[in-house]
Amino acid sequence: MSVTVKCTLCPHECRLDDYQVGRCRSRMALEGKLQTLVHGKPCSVHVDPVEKKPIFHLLPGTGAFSLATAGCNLTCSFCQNWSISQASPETTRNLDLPPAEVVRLARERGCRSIAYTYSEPSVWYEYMLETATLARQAGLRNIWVTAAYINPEPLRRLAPVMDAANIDIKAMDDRFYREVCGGTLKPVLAATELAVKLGIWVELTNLLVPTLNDRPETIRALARWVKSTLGPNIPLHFSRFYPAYRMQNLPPTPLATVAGAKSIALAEGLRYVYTGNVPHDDNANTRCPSCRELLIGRQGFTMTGNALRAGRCPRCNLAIPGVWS
Amino acid sequence: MNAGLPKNEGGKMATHPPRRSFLGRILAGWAVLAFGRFLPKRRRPSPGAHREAMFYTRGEDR
Repeated sequence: MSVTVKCTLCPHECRLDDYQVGRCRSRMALEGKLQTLVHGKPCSVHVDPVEKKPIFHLLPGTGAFSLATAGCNLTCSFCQNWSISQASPETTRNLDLPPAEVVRLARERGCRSIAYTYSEPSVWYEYMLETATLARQAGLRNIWVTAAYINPEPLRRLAPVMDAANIDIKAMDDRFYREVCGGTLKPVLAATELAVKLGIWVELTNLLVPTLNDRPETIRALARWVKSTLGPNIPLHFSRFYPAYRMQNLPPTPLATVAGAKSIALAEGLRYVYTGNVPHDDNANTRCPSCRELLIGRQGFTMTGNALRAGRCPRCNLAIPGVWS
Repeated sequence: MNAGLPKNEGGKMATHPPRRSFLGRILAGWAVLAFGRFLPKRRRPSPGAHREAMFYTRGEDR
């Protein structure tokens, strides 16, 4: 006889016998208790520009101390970070980096924020929460880069220490979630809505995978949902797909598709729409939605200029939403 | 000049090596098991990485 454990962190709600590991590969039942296997054991640590997350409306031009452990609760066939997200922690080369050490290193490297990113930080929830709590006390901002496949209660507990989130909405299509990502759409939309309500600064990313989620109707449905549920000030990043993991058979997203997606979102009334993984042009710049003044210029992940005055447009004085100081 | 190439016997080219005998397969399997212990083991997370997780419930015995 063994005691089963039900993990309630994410909507999968894995039921585990002793020594069984959840779908995320990073949480294991042991003697009737659930254990995280990755606390203080990141496999990726880098200093990135905050624009790489992508987060465009929080402290632009600053460094984000970025880390990840192995594991993810989704199984997206197009994952661009599959070598760590689809790996078990015992198969990755891990550092020994307790939360206090993460904060110390972030300050030492001159970062203004810590980003929990690359894999799915929700599955290393305890490590993220403890680090974020210490970071907040040290005056650093916290950024959660996630697919938001998380239950409401853990999100409520995380929100007080989380400043910003980039939420990857894979598609406004439940079938796509089920067949390509190993999840469902509804909990993602619910978590995104809750994150905004709880006061986290949210930006959204939508990776456009050719032939799978790049139909104009799907893109329009996403833009409409964002505007009607979250409001027109939520930035939306359309990202270009490159062949990866189990989708080496598909070509990179045509540039016309990415540009078309941006046009659709703007036409639906979203004010801040960006494109990523595309050649440098005006698509990564922030312009005033009222007078079209160039506010923040970017070349790739590098900020080339910031004309904001206390978070406002210098020409028409419109307040630009975001975290600017 | 043609040393090392399969011989053309009776108009048929030898296209594959001879089948391994039953005893040969047994020996090969035994060799894999016997020497497998010397292969590198999967690395386990260090004990320090284990920490009781948040957000779970305990179910019934089964």
